[in-house]
Amino acid sequence: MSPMARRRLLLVGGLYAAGFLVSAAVGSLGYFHFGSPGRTCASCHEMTGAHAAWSGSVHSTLHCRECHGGSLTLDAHALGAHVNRLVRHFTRAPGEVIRLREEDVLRIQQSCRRCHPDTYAKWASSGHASTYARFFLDPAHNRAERMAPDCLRCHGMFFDGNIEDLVSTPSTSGPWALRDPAKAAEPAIPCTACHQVHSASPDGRLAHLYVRREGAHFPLAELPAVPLTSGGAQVRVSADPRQRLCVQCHAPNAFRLAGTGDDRTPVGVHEGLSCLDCHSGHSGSARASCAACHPADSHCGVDVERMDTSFHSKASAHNIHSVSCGDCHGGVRPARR
Amino acid sequence: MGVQPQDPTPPATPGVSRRTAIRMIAVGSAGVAAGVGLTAVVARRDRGAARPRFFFSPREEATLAAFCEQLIPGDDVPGAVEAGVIDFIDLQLVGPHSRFQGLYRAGILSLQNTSLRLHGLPFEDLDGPVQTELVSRVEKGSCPADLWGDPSASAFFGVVLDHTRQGFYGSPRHGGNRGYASYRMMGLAYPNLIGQNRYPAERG
Repeated sequence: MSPMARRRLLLVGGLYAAGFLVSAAVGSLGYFHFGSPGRTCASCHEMTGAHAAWSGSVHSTLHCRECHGGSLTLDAHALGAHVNRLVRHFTRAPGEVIRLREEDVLRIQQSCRRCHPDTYAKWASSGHASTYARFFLDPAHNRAERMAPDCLRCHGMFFDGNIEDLVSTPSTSGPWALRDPAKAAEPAIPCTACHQVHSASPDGRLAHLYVRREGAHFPLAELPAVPLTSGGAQVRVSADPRQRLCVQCHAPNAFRLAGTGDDRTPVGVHEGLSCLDCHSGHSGSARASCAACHPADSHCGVDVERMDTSFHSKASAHNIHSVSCGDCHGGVRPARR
Repeated sequence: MGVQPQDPTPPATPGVSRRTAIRMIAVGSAGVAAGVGLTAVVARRDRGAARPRFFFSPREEATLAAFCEQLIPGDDVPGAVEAGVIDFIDLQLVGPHSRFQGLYRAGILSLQNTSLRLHGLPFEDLDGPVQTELVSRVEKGSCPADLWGDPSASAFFGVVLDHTRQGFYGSPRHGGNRGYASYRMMGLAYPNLIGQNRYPAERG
């Protein structure tokens, strides 16, 4: 065989070998892309917990790829992560903790939107859809309070970094700027902040709290009930388990005083009510909520929606969360009309 | 200058012959089939496999598990093993606690040899009270001197006790305290509520 013919043979053979390997890789990825999650994703022990939770969830009719993307992808990061995981698996290297990046969380959110457009629209209209710019570039707030790592506990819980990686000057002097300007328009409290897609709730609700520190979701049943006091007396807090989720971020100060910090736990005439008794879970709106409990008029015969409270006007000195009869009646509860 | 006669047949376009195309399809199909088949076999082999150990051999794991369970025994709440203390130690020994690798390897071997000499059985096969008595001897350092060099019995006990506590009471994100077992046992309200204190700016 002439050298030329040998070179040609080697070249052709190499091309066929490369073609075989590429085809094998496509076949392997295709197996994971189209295969049953129980035979593919769950074959890695790192995924067995997530798979078991998903199997019992209301989302178990969806394939993993519907939310997480498929294996047949040209996304270099995804392919690199797959290869890295395989290498770690076969070399028995300590596995990295498999956790969603914020980018993945926001992508998954679009899957939520596809199936739950109404709920998504309600969330988008709420304060919970506020962006990083809204939370972190508010001059009045930033001058009053120093930014701290714990801000990310409730605002930006999926952010891949620390507060110094997010904001250039986490002090009270400013100027404040996001290190990555693209984050300005991103929502800081996405769906998965309060929902664990993989989990089944006995009552069909999926509310969970995402705890950034642990990188894990806590179901409502495991969230602690927070005892609060007001004026030295114990506050009667609603037994609604969803209340425990709200108070994790709408939290009182370290002394657990109702109405301090971001706490909005009802006291006064509304003591004992759950946030969700008045506020819609996704839009947060409390409009028309009075009618759910009050007849046309109040105890004293006045239309409750017209009373001088923060429900009627934000300028009112009587916060609807803490208003009591005595606020308007000189400290005395009036007789029923 | 005369006119050149034109070739009536069009020039051959460079391309893939039918034979080459068939070869390529065959190679591609074989590759896809091999990829699918191999992946299916590997996935089936590993399905349901337990979490792999990064440091301990099965024998070492059994001995250490029995030892740690003596330190924090389970009752109506999980003990050290059920709470994932062995997972924690195994993971940390190939991470931040890698300097203790030699201590564990030598210490577990010494413990096994001590158990065999004194009771004729591996430590993990001893009855509970006998295990307790042997753990007590390790703690006090009153074991056969020729079986314990570096680490000493009491040094080994101290390190394992420290790590058992860390794995049991630390956050699950480090590999132990499975299901927040110790937090539940203590009735710790978790996640703990921090909230804002609205400190004035000048107080920082």
